[in-house]
Amino acid sequence: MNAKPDSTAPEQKGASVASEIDQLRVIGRPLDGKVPEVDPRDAWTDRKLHYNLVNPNNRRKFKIIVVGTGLSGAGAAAALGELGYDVEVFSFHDMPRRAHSIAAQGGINSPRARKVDNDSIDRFVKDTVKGGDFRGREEDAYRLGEEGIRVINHMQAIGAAFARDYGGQLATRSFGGVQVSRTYYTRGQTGQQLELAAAHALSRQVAAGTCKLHSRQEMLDLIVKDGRAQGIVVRDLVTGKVRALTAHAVVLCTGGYGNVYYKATLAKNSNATAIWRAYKRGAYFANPCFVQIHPTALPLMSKWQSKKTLMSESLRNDGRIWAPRKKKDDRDPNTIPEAERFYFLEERYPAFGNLVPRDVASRNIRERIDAGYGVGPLHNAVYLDFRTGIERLGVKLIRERYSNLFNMYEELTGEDPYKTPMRITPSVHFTMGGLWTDYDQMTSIPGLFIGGEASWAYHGANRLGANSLLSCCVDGWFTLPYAVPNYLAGLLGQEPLALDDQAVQDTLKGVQDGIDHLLNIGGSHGADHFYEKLGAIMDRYASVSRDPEGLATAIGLIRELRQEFWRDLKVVGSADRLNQELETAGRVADYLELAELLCIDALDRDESAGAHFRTDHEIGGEAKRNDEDWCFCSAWEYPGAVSAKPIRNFEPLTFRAVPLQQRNYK
Amino acid sequence: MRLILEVWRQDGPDAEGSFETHEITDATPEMSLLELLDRLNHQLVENDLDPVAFESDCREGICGTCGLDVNGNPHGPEDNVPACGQHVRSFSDGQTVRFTPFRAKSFPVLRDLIVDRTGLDRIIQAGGTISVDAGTAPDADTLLVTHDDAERALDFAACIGCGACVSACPNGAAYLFTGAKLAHLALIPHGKEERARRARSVIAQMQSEFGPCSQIGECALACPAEIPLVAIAVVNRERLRAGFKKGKPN
Amino acid sequence: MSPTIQERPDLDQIPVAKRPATSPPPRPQTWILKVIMATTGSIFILFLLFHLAGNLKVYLPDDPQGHFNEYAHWLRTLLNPLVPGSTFLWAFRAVMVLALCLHVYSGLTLWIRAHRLRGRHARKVHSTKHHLTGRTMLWSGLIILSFIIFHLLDLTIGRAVESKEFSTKATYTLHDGTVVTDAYSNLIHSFERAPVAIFYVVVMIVIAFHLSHGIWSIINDFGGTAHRTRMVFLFLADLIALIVVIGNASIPLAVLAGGLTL
Repeated sequence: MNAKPDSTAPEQKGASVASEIDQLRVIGRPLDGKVPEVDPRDAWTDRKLHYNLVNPNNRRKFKIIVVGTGLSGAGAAAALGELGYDVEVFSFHDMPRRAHSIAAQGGINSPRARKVDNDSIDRFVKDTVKGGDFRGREEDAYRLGEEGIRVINHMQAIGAAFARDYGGQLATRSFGGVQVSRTYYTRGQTGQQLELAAAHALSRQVAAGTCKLHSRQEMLDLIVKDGRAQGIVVRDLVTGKVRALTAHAVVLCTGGYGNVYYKATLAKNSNATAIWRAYKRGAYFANPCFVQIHPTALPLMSKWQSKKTLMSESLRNDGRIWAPRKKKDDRDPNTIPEAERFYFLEERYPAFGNLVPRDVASRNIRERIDAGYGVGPLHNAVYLDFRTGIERLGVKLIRERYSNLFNMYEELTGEDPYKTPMRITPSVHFTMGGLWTDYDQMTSIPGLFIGGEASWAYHGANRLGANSLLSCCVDGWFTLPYAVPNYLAGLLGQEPLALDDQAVQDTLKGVQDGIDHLLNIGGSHGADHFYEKLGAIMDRYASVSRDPEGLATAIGLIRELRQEFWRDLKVVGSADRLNQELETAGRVADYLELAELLCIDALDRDESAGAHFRTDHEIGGEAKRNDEDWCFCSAWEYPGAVSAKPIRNFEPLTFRAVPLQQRNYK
Repeated sequence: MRLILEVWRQDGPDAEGSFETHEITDATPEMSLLELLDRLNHQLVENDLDPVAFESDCREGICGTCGLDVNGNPHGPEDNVPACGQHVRSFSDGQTVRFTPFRAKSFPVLRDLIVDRTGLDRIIQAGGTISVDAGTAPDADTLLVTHDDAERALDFAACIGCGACVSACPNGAAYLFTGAKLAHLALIPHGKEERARRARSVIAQMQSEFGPCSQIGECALACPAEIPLVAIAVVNRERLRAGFKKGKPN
Repeated sequence: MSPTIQERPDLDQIPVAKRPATSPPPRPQTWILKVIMATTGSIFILFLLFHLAGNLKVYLPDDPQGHFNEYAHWLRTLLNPLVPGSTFLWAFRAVMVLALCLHVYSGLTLWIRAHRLRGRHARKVHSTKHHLTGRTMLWSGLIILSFIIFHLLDLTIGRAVESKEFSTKATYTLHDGTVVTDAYSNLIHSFERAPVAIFYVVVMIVIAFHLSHGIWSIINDFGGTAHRTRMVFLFLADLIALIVVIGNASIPLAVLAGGLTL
């Protein structure tokens, strides 16, 4: 909330801006991802071998702040607590278990390769890197695969009741984008079971006293001194008090920024404030334009519908996607004969059919809807049909696999998907971008670590289904507990920064001033008013397909909207109590800045890659990558003022294990 | 649709609190009850009035954040459905809809419709966990679990921790919540080593903050995760079992 | 060393979530009280069934008075000559009184605990059977308690509420010549008073309510989780309640209707 109104006049619209991307950003320096210079397969082993350790007796002397209690946050906090560190955990929820990891449905990948379907860590890496369209580090992917094996063992041991075959072995299923069966699941509520297991493991440490839990506290700023992250400033959401806590290291596991699109599938409270404030303190923001649009969400049906609801991608295993061959076909779907149904994914991509990666599915569905073949009251959806699946497998098995999803669908729409095909539509769901981290999950600010969706690691330009739960678990349980101590080892004997230190006091004052500023604008509209407008801009110009003119327009509109926000915002109520309007206002203020960076990045990245599909870079409707000029990660640096041009640093990406190649799912 | 909304307003845990009446004229049948409150708040903010504080997060029935009573029913008029899945279509035009916070002494009101449900978390902290440190677990495939046990464990593990069972209970009991956790952990292989120890500590904690069970069954009718009522018997089963294992962890 | 938060009272501390065991569970623990309720409740159910079996002797053909009085005598002299006189009866009464005290104490304690933790706002309830019976356990229990006192005064002790013909001295001679107390006459005399007979009938219905929920509670309190067992108990709960109410309430009704006389 220390953002100041932007004084820059809105940019002129049109192609002139596209050609003048230099007006919008500055090109910075190359970054070193600190990847071990060994075979990518051995990188993690090599790195672990060279990590510094902390003597068990000294561990309790180190204070670590973990923000967020999702799958990665709860995991990191619990694991560090188990090791004996003094962990302070923050959540803006009432309890750790509420974090949005809980809503993940489909499953968690792990290349345990038990079956004879020819899976292996190498194949997993290949799928992940290729799926990410070569815009992530392959060494990261190797770590993901290698530790992913332990993840299943651990999560099972701490209480996640994975589905079992009749022989008692772990059951797997195949998931969007891959041809092997490596996804472990617990019905359609895998995220819930993993999150509960992780939150319970954290609870165990809370009871043991190694982790101190601070609930209903929202992080509003990062304390940086001497170039190191040394603490955070939080606002007590119940009393409104703003306080600081200092520590030796800060770990942010605060999730993605998909809610910048207003109506996404994310939870209402998921927000980008923590990572955005960290960005403004000097952490680089990687690839903000890589936003995954999930193909199977419930469409909007009315103005007040608060969000889109995700239906797990696993539904595509047994469900077939189709649209009528006739425009605006409002007939009951069951009466539409087979010949008049266009199974467009199966026809266009015979090898993968309904299991093509998310971006391909989303774009194809969006194409059908935009072309006028949409179904439902607003003609904004296509059908996901289980008739063939039920005929082949029987209702019982389908119910076992998806009962909770089907129930949820019926609860929300009042229709029975066992009988009538579901209506689905693409929706923003996951953000591959996030704070830039090196191989050790540390940002450009030493002492600031990131876990889970808040970071950029692993997924490149597009995330494979069921890899997000994996990356959260790997970060939380099996990366940060190695990497954070390596950093701490060099700080032995140092106390956390004193609370009366000037840096702490300045940060506190900045936050307080930001809150006062929001309260004192005295305008005429609540934050939601601006938020909705922002969502409309983002949806129109920065969604499934993007073009330079549209992005330039979007940037102009966002700047205008930001000015309007700082001129006309109204926050009812005061700061010294529970005030949800104030919370929203602070978050929207951040979205209004983040949205601009997202569009600048999308305009800057002059290629199509994964989820970032530029209409001016395509071959036959497919994304056309430009490896020559764009095989790097953009890591944006805050220039010191919202009105100044952000600096685009870059980390070149090299691929040694998985050779660069164009994606082809046909 | 026109609806009269009677909403409980309370500034803090110790404040008196009272009902406030508002009218919504443009409600639509497909709105969820939370969206109805969104609509109300939008109207209040536009009129410079203090919006109603209420909690919600995922709005797809899995996070358990939403916690309010509607016309005296936890989450709303329909059984076994969370507030985000309850819709305006359950009401008729001109009807009065009354929103109150989850009721139970163990859930003090923080503001308006927001209550403090951390008592449930303390039950988990007391021992609803499995003592396995990161990295020390054996291969999950070497521990066989029957298909049916895994499915049954999931029936209980589906609890979303919303606290509707407590609000539904005339006694403010948390048996369904506690029993669901104990049943889940008793069915999977890793939890078994500390089963008796867990039962003792978890049930002691439950008793110190929540009421006794009278087997009325309101909890299971309210539960959005459809936890079976047998969970309440699991609490007693586990505690009696632990009583026969005095001094032993299992 | 730089000051830590604890040493700086001017710098407010961020609140830490409360941890478990900040307040110990109330003693005796709820689960123990529940087990006591279930155990004593089971004793009462067994007693009720035996009592009913004895009561039903009034319906035996050929000298019901004899059959009933013989049963009353048998009860009084049970386990003779192992123990002398009415020892068993008194031991049995002691157990029943103790069980009753425990049952009432546990029930009241649980009710107070429940009442204290009930929230402030009104609740709409489901009109299920268990709601009706479960919510009224305390009240049905108190009615039954006062009935027990009435019943003992009326037919055992013969004080305050007894019929004017009541006598502990009146005797009856059985077929084999044994002279026994004439409990049957007392019974008939008592039930010939219409208000008393109706009171008995009403209380039997209350007992049926109490039993129906009580038996369902027993399986829960003893931790019965097997599906079939629970279903059997659910069925038994209603069956036993029904048998008790029909069996017992029919006697005063039969007396009133003139079907049972001296």
